[in-house]
Amino acid sequence: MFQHLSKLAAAGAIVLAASAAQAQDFPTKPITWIVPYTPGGITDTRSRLIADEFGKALGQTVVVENKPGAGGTLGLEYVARSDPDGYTIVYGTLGTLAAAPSLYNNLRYDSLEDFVPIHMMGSSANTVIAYKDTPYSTPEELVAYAKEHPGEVTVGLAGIGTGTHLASELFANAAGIELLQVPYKGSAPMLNDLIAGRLDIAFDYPVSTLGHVQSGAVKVLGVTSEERLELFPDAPTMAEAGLPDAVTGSWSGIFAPGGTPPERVEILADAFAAAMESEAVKDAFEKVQSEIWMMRGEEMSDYVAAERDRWTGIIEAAGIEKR
Amino acid sequence: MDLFDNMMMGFSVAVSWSSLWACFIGVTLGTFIGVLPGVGALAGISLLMPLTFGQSATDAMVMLAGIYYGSIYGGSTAAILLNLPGSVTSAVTCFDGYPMAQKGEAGKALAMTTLASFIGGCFAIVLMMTFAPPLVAVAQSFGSPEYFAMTVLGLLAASTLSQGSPVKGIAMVVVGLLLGLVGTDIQSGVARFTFGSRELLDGISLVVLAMGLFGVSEILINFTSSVFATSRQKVDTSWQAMWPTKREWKDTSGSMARGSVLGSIIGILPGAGAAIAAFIAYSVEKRVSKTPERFGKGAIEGLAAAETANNAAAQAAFIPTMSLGIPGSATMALLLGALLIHGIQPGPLVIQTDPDLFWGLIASFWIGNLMLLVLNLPLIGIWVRMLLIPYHILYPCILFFICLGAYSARNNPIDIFLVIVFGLMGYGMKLLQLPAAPLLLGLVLGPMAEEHFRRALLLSRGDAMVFLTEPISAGLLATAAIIVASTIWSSLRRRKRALADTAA
Repeated sequence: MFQHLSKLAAAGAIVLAASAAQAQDFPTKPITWIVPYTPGGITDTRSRLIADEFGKALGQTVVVENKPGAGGTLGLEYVARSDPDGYTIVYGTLGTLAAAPSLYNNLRYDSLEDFVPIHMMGSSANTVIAYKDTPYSTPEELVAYAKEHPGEVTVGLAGIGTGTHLASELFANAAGIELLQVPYKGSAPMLNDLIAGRLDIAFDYPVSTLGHVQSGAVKVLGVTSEERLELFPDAPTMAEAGLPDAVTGSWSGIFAPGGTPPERVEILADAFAAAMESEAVKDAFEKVQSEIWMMRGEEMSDYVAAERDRWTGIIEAAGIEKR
Repeated sequence: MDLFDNMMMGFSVAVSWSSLWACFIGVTLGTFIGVLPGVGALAGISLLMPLTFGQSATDAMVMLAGIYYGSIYGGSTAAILLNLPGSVTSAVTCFDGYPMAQKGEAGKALAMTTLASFIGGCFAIVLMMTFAPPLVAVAQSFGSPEYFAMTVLGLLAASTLSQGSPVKGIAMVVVGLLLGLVGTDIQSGVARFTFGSRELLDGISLVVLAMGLFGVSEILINFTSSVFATSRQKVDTSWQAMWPTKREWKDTSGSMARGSVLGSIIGILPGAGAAIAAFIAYSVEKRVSKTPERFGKGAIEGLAAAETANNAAAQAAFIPTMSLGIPGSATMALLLGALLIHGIQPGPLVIQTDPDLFWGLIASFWIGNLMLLVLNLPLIGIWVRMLLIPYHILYPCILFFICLGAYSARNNPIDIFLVIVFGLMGYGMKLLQLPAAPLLLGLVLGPMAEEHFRRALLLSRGDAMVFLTEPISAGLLATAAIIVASTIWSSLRRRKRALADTAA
């Protein structure tokens, strides 16, 4: 019965019909997708949504399994040591693949050797937000103010080594300013202090800041994306503000353990691409202002390698201690 | 009449068939999830969230919220019957609930819990409806100095939680503080006391510690004591035996009033949470009681205070979540995530842009609490029957669920190992008569105290006076100083009198 159903589903996936027919020996059982974060978060719920479409395109169930811990690196370690048969894949990000090697001691994986990139998912820019009564309203004004008052502007961090922390380091570095860093345990308490005016500025994802910007509790100075964001049409990009080096986005994609047969990686990539182009996924990404990224293959491995080098330099320059 | 209109709109949403059904499913599942040791609201909601994708946003929130407060109701059951905190919030319920059950009053303890939970929940809902905006302002005014001052008060309360020797109590608070240091330092990102284990970078989980110290150690103690062989007494679950007597109502009414107020206030503060509310309400109760020596040995007031407080806090936690868009706990963050999935941007504007969602949700809390009352009272008879299962069958089952609960939190085998280690530690502590409760509170409050102390100093550019110049923080610290002074004063006087007595 089950086999019958899965055959039907495979037939239904139009995009895949050809490649599925070529390699019918894969996949013959459910795929486990390790999401290295706690269940229920935005990352997790989004993965579950994609997993649904991904499974339809593959003609096999894709089971999301959460293995959180140590900033997501525990989940990556688990997959690095899994069988490279294509049945175990992982959600990899800027944080775990580009930044983690410079942030953690005894990391038991190599971002490039232990993982084969399958397909990118997307990229989310940061918004630079400020307390509503601060004397600056654009990135330029902020930089000018911070240069006059070195070390006085406080910037909230949602945690040492998080994507938003790295974006703020990048910004300070590019602008040549000194900010007083105030670390928090996650973005919620940080925003609470920002709204109350105990904190001056913060970097955070549009999905967390939009409501507060709309209500006027905080103002948005700029965005770190290459182009302006639809939800914040008046916020200039870093390039517009004369800081092209501060352009960044937190990217994510799916990866298989190193040594997974290339033809299986191809099958997975085709199905994942189909899932990313489905209406349900497009909708979900639009809601949180994340950009869908259709990158795969060599282009993707080159990108991941470049990102790792870039962040290694930034983290070293920022003097963040390894843990 | 604004409030009245809002409530009418809320009820018109919440009594629709689909919302009632969502509420019923939510609280029922929540109750059962709460009963299972270690599987708390967080796991329950994240597992069941995909089920709500097809529902309307309001129904989804009603159901998920129902799982949350339902699990807090249910968590007390395992705490009372088996000394096993089903969730962190019910750790305090163990203190007096389990001794009551040992005295054969399990039915009464469960009934009291259900009633107290209902009263605490209802109080917080009334508060939420009438004073939401000013309450939000209070929550907003809490910065790091205020949080630090609050944790100082909490730590003081922690050392008085225990029976017997105060030195042992304080020592256990310190052990808790030390365990709280394990993990990544928030301020610098440096790993502390992880011994190179990357699994420990996120610190020691409170649920794992509580299940080990209370649950596993209880099983070990029972294995080695004669209780194991003795036959059980039958628990009377007739209505007369369970329903509190006039005298008990009188004894607990003050406790429930204090518990409701404290729970609501603490619940509003992001990051404080229902567990801390229960701890503080319990220690306040012990302080104001004329017979504090009964606490920990089955004092119904302690049980009532803790239960009203944790349920009041559970409801009040929705105030900052819904009106500010700032989640106070991981569970609240999950609920906000659910809103996002339904395309609703959480934040201060939700009350204006989606009034039917906001007021409908609050109205559903009333209905949900009423359902829980109706659901839980008859269930008591079934739950206490669990005690009739022979220990040699019951205990392996419980151990199985403890390990499952510990593992399920983050799918990491090290947590099973830790729960066993803490179980052995709890066993040793029981033999040495070292109290476990202060240790638990030390672990909860220690990291909070450190985080806020350092952040307060960072934001004040190193000026320690900030703790005294901020009025709320100064007031809390003054209260703490007065408690310390009065304790020293009274013990000195007692010693003087004792000396005078021996001289005479």
